Amino acid sequence: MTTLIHITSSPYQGLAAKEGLELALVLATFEQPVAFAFSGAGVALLLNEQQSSHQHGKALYKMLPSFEFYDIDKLYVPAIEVEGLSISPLATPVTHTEWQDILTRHACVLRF
Amino acid sequence: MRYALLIKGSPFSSRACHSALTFAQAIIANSKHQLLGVFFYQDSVLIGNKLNQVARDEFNIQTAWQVFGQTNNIPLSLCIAAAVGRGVINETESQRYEETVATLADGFTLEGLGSLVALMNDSDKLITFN
Repeated sequence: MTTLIHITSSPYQGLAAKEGLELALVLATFEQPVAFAFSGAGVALLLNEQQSSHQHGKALYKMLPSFEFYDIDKLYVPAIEVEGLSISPLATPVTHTEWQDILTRHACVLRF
Repeated sequence: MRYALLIKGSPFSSRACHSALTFAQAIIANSKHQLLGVFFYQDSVLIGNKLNQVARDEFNIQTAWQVFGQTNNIPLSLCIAAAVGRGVINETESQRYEETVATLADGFTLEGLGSLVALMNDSDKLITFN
């Protein structure tokens, strides 16, 4: 059973995005399948060329490339929300219908 | 049905801990259901700070959870990383960080996120309170 971690908060807004990522990595460490969904302010985590300072908090986007070591390769984002933006190649933009399917087919969805 | 609860919202700026307690009481009241455990993550771990002082005429959500946990023998776990980061530490962590006080309230324990993963696997339903 794959757990979907849905990131809706900006990495610069508080600790929620970071704590969502940490839970995902622990799930993966325990060999539980994990997928990610990003929407709203959470999309900011996927943006390329972020220039964050130490004061902005932990640079969460730098964690994305490490996901492959945890067998996390499903990172979904609605295509309409990233149109014209330069985002991580690890993320898969999906159509509205696919997005609806992703959010409903996972038995466990945790939003951060 | 075997339930586990994941609470994420702060006991101060949300009603997550309050709604979760109502839900937990409803599970216990129905013998067809079972509550395996409660896991506090993110700002909800602030419920485990024993230094919280509540005005006498206000409802004390921390005491309410302590009584519930003890009466029904339900483990109340706080995510250790989230708790330590917010100043909720037990004796062991207090010594590790060379502090002079431990702030974890009775009835709560500090656990790794692995405990949440175990709860998710052992239960039929995980209910989240934001």
